[in-house]
Amino acid sequence: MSARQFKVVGTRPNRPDGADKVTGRARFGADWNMPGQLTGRVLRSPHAHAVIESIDVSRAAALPGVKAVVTAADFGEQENRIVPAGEMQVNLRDVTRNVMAREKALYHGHAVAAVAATSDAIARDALKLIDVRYRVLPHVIDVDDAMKPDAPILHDHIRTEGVEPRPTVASNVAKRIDFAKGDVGKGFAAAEVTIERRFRTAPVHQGYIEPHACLASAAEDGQVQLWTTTQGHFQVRGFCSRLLGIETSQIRVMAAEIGGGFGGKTVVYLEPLAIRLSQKAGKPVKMVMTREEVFRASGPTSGSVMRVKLGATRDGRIVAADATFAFQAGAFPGSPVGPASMCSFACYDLDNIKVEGFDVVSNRPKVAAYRAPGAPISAWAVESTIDELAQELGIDPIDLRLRNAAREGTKTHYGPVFNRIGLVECLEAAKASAHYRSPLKPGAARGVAAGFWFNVGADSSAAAHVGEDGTVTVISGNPDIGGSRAALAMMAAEELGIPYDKVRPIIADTASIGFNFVTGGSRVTFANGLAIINSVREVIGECKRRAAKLWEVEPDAVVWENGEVKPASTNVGTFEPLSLAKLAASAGKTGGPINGHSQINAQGAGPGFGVHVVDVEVDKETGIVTILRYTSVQDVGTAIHPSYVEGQMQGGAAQGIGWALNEEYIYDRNGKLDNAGFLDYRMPVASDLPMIETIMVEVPNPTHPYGVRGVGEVPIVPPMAAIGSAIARATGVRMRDLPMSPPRLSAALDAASPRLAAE
Amino acid sequence: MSGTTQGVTGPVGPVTSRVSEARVLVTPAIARAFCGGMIEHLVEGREIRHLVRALDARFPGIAARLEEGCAVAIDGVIHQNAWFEIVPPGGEVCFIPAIEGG
Repeated sequence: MSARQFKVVGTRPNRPDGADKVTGRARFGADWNMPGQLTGRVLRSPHAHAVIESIDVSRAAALPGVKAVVTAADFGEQENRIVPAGEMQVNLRDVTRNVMAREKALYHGHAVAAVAATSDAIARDALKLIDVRYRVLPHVIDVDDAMKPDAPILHDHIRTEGVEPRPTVASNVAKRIDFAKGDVGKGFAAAEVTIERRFRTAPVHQGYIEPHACLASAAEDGQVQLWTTTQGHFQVRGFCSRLLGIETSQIRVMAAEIGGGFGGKTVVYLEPLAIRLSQKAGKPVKMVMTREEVFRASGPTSGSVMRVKLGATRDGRIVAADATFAFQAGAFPGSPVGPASMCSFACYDLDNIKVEGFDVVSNRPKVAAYRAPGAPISAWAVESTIDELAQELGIDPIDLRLRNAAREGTKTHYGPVFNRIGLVECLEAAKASAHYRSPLKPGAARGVAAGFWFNVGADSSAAAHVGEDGTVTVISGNPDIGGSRAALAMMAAEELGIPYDKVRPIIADTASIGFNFVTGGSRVTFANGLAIINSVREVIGECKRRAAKLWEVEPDAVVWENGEVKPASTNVGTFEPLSLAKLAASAGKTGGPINGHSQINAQGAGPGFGVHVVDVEVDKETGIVTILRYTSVQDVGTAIHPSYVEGQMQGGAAQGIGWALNEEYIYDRNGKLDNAGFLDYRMPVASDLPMIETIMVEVPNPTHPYGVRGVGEVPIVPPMAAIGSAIARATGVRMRDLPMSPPRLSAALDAASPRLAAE
Repeated sequence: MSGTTQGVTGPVGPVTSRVSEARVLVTPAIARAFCGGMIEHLVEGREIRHLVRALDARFPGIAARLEEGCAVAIDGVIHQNAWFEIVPPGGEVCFIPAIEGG
């Protein structure tokens, strides 16, 4: 546990947005409306890969009730250059083409035109009147197919980066990356056991329950207002500014409450279209994706093919690790193969590591971030192989990890040396847990896996305003997707020494607080927390200065304790302590309002590690896997609000269970997604899952005053490998492709036992 | 005057006090593209921007690559866009791909 004693941090008060959310008052993306608004709809490509030879919108524009139509011609060309956008590095040339296809449609569902009309029915009718002439091209979906020399090429200008000499012919392989440490050849030469395995993962969607939705109002004077569901309204402003040629000061973005994002709402789809339509129509335009559109056209994460090779001595010391990861990027470069490669062996202190990664375009929607982007995919391959190694060596899988675990001082294969981290503590907590020590029921088996995510800091602005009664509003600029409002208010209350219910957290729009990076990278409680703490410290400093003036003593002769200014010692004099309420009541007479603010690029986010333990039972006839018991162990730094930390750990496990057992994109032979809906894209529901048990290990992050580490992404990293290993131990059949869905598992079991299948 | 693993002189820039020599590591891809494959370099500089400037003097063009799309770990602590971060004497500075997140 943390060494510091807290009064508010570590308690479990109600969340400030809770009442609105359970009573239906909270307004999500599609809940915003304006008088006279139009409905916007998008025409999408029926082909996975096609040249757009012409688009004729004249018949649609002439339909009564249609007020505006846009195509790529309404959006300026963008430079072919990588620029930072949120936490993704993006190429605006690609972003504008993803928002609206230009020369080619690159996936089934790619936007090619949009209309705004007085009703949804008219808008839908108008789409049918847009004449698009396509020249259909061969398409490619899977990574390994896209990497073949004779694969259909998506972009003639792409030459594989990271290969010397630079290729002269176009390729779907946008980039090759590599990381190395030591000498893997020497390492494998010393190995007594070597295992090499190949893995695949299917593309999966973030599965947020709320579809993309926005309302744009562009006024005649050039000012734009936008309400949208997003993980980063400053990011939306930045994208729209660049794509539409509007200065950022002219765009005000209000973040709606958000019904899930998981990384998928860090980019723009509808927002630039809605603003341009509103500009052309002179009226507000509201756009809401259908669930089918969400699946067909918004960011999933990559499918992959991977190879992992491990060498070890008989006593369980891993002496070499070598891996290759090839990830689908979708229609434009930019898969998370980089972080996947960096995270792959981050849990281990190994002398010899070599990792190679490939970023590969294919005729699918451009991938978007998905919770610890890339890390769960490489962890599936690495952690499954680690488990096989444990079986081969006859060593307990936690003991094998403990023998090789990364710890303070471990040099990673991607460069940095770890400072204080908590992987060993997590492994020890998992081993000592009631779950791990409990006997298995007959037929069941247990799996274990570990996971890592960097966590990030980045740009954050915050303010603290003291009201005339001494209560406090803390203002930040990151949409709350996991309970961050509560955590920020708790840190402010802790710092001020006042009760939690005297602090109200607000998420301001882009015109009302300084810039904030997206809500992503598990950064908000860490980075915004730092900005909030700084803001509150400014308030405290101001209170102390005013009290010192009132008492006519030196500023350093007073102290702040438990929400009051007091003399630092009896030598200063005898003064009645001044509470925040008393100081606020006389603020006008002592210098005006008492506020604090902070703007920082938060540095020093503490890395996160987790270990998951799962018990499963497999119906060998149907291939159905039942999760019997599941425990998520994680180094959470300091749990500011333990319930929301536990919620992150449980939610990540639940998503990972779906990724492991059911979720996948299924394409037909024409490259059309066959399961674009929750009936056919099977996500776990409450009845599929046991209560997910949690064990919070607190190894405080030394670079944060309260020891905060990000917690939101680590929990989705280990589940797939933990479940795969449990299935392998239950059935004797090791699955190497995700998902381990009933048909796939059943087929694998049948293949392993042909006689049984025949019966 | 920095000692370097490649015998290239540096630094560039107004380093006036607390000058230190850091062990700087770049990714293999950047090393191949700019540094003849050399990953580790000894570079003088008080702040990260000084290291970048000194590296750019040795390997023209590398600054743009390091400043766009890279995070930097100073003795293991990861920083994003950290021009002014102080490099501790004898510290290790790793340029790594910028970290994404969901």
